[in-house]
Amino acid sequence: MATVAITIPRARRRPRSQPATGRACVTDFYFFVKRIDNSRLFREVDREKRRECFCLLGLGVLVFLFGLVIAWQHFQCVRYGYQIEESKAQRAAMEEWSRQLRLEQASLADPQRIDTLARQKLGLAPPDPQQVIRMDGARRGGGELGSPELARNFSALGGENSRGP
Amino acid sequence: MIPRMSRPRSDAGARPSTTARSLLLAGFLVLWMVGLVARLYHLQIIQYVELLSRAQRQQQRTIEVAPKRGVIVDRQGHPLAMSLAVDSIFAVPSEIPDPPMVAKLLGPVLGLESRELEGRFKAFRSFCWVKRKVSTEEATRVRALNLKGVYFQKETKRFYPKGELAAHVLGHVGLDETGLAGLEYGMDDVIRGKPGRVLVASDARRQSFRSTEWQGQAGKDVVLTLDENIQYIAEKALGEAVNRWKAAGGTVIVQNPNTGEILAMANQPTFDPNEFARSSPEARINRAIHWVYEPGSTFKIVTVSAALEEKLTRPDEVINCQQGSIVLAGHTINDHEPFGDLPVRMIVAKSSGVGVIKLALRLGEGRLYRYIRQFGFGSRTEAGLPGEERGLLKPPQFWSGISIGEISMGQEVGVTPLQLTAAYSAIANGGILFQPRIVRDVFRGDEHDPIPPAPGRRVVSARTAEEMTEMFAEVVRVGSGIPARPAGYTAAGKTGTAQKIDASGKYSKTHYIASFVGFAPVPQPAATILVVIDEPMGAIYGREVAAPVFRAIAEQTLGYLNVPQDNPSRWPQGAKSTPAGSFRQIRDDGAGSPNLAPEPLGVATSPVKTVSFTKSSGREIPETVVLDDGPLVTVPDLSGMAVRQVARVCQELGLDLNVRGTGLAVEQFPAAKARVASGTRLRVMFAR
Repeated sequence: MATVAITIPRARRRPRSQPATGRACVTDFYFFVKRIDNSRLFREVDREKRRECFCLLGLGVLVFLFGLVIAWQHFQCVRYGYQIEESKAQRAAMEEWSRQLRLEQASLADPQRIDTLARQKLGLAPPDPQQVIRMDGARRGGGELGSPELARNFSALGGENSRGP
Repeated sequence: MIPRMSRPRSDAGARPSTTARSLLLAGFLVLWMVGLVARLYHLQIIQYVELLSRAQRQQQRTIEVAPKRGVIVDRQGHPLAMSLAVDSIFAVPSEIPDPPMVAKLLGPVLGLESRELEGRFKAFRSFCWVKRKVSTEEATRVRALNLKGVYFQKETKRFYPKGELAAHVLGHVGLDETGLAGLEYGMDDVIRGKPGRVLVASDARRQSFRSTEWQGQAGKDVVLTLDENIQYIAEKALGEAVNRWKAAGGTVIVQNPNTGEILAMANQPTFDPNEFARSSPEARINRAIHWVYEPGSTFKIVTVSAALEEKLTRPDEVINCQQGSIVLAGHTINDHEPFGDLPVRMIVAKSSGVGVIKLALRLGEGRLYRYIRQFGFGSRTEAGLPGEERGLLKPPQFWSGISIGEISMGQEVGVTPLQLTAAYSAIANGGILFQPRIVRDVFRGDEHDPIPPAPGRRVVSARTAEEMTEMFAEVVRVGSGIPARPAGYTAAGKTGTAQKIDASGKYSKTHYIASFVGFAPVPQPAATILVVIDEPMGAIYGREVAAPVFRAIAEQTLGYLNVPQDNPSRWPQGAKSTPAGSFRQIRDDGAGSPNLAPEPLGVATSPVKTVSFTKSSGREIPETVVLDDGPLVTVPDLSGMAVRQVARVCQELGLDLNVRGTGLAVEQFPAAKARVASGTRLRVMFAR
C-alpha cells in the first residue's frame, strides 16, 4: 500500500474589476492516493448463487431443446404427412391398377374369345362325347354311375329325394 | 476531511433527455402492443368464425368417396361385373381464357360437338361437365392438351368383361352407378355400399399433407350360381338356333335339379350391358322370368303326375284316344294326330291331347288346380331376380266348360320358363320342388353371408316321379323327343309346340312357340334344361326346333361337369369293348397323332382328326380323346361338419380346401361321392 500526496495549487487572485464576495479562497487541497493491492485476495464463491445460475442455464437449455424438439417434431410430422399422403395415393393407384389387370384378365378369359381363338387360330373343335373316354373307371359299361360333380342340397334333401327302387 | 466528489456537470445535464426518450419508446411499445393485442382480439375473437371457415375452405377439402360397387362373380369366382375408377372431365368456364378455342380442341378428341361444348361454357360459369367416364385414351389426349380451366375428376364405372354373357341376369347400371335392371337393380342395396368422406388438408400448392377418413362401406361381392362356361354353352346353342330358324327370340335355362341352382339363363335377343343404351328395350327383357307363354304339351307333366299321384291311372293303363277328337262343353278338341288305344306312357310319348284330357277329367278341376299350384305355377319362384312374373292361372271358379281340357294340355294357362324348369327339376330329383336360386353367397372381405338353399317341398311321391321319369325317357327314346337324345347319355323330357295368340285374340296359324324341357342323365340327373324358341320360321315343332338345342347343350354341359356317360349304346363299338389299357397304349404309342395326349378334364376343345382306330358298319369312327387325371379320390360327405373337421379330412385326402362362411358345412362342390383328382379344390359353404 502506498500513499501519495498531491498538491493542488492555490486559486488565482480576484481581478480588481470583480467585486469582492466577502470571503477569501486561499485554502490548498491535498489529495492522498492510497494504493491498494488486492492481488492476494481471493473472491469467495457463492455456491448457492452459482447453483442457481447453473440451474437457470440448464433450464434455459432444456426449454431451448424442448422448443427444438417440438419444432423438429412438427416439421417431421408435416414431412411424414406428405409421405403418407403420397403412399396413400400410390396404394390407391396400385389397387386401381390391380383391378384393371383383373378386368383385363377377365376380358381375356371370355369363353367366347377363347372359343373363337381355339377354332379359328388353333383349328380346334369340341370332341364328340363318344370320343372322350375316362380312364378312372368310374363308369365303364355296367358299372355303378358316379354322382355328378354338382352341389347337393343337404338340408333340403335329408335323404328324402333318393330315388326309390 | 475528505470533500464530497461531485459528478461532472455534463452528466447531470443529459439525464432528463434520456428518460424522456425511454418513456417515449416505452410508450410507443405499449401502444404497439396494445394495437397488436387489439388486432389479435379482433382476428381471434371477433372474426374467429368467419376467418376459420375461410381458412378451412382454403386449406381443407372434404371429398366424398363414392363407394365401389361389389363384384359379381360366377360360381367359379370368375368376375362378370366389376367397377373401376375412370376419369370424368369437367370445366370451370370462368377460368377458360378462350372458350371457343377450347371447345374446338376438346370436341374432336372426345367425340363431342364443339358448338354444344361452347354453349355449355357460355351457359355455366363455375362448373360444367365436359364428358363423364371417358376412356383412358381420351383422358390421356385431353391431359396432353393441358388446357386451363379443364379438370379431371375420378368416378367409378361399371364394366362387364364378358360382354353379352349373362347380360339379362346381371342387368346394368346407369351413369350414377345405380342398378337399373337385373341383379344390379335387385341387389342394388347390397352391391352399392355406402359413400365415405375424406377431409384433406392441403398446402398453398394444393398438395395434401394430411387426411382424415370417414370410412364408407364398400359394396358386397355377389357369387352367383351361374357357371360362365355353361352359360356360354347355352347362349351359343340358343343363338345358333334362333339364327337358324329366324326366330323372334328364345330362352334357355339350365338348372341343377338337386339344389335348384340356376347354372345358366340365356336369352335371345340379347344386349351388351357395357353399352345398354344402344340396345332395344325388347333385347333387354329377361324372357326366362318375364315371358309368360302358353307352354303347350310340356305342361302335361302336371296332369299326368297328378293322375299318377292320385292313383287314378297307371303308366301301362290303356286309354282310348278316340282317334284324336274329344268334345268338351260343346267344343271339339282335336289332337295333332288321330290316336286309338294308347297306354298312358305312350300318351306322353306321342303327346296325345285327348288322352291327357281324359286323365284331367278323372282328376276334376279342384285337384288339377291344386297340383298346378303345387308345382309352383301361378306364383313367383322368388329366384332372386327382380320383376319376375307369376304367370296366368285362373282359379277353378272362373274356368269355362272346356278350361279343364285346355289347361291340362298347357293352353289357357300362362307360365314362365323358370316355373316350368323348376317343375321338371322336381320330377328329376324324385318329387321335390326346390326354389330356383341365382345367388349363392354375398360377402365383403372375409365376412360371408352364404345364402343356403331353401328347403324343398314335396309335390309328388318318389314313385310318381320315377314313373314320370320313365315316361319322359320314353319320349326321348322312341317318341317326339328323339332329336334331344344326347350322345353318350340317357335323357328324359317332353317336347312342346304351342300356338301363339295373335292380334285378333285367336290362336295364330303361323306363329308358334317350340319348346323342349328335359333332364339328363336319367338315373341321376345332373341338369334340367329348358329350351323355348319363339316364332321359329320354317319349322314349328319342338322336336325339330328345340330338341336339338337341348341335345347340344346337354352333351357339352354334362361333359363339362364330368358327368360319366351312361348310355353305352351310343358309344362306338370299339370304345365299348376295348379295355382301358388299350386306350392308354394308343396314347402312349402316339398312334396317329399327338392329339391323344392327356388333357384336363372338362376340356371343351380338342383337335379332331378322323383317325380310324376301329371301324363299325363301315362308318369311320373319329379319334378317341383319352382323359387321364391320375389317381382319383372320392369326395366325402361333409355335411354337418365343422371347419376344423373338414380341413382335417381334406388334408388327409390331399384336397385343396376353399372355405366360405362359418358354422357347419351346408353345401359342397364337388358333391359327395364325386371322384376327383388329388389336389382338386373343394369348396365348402358353412352356415350357422
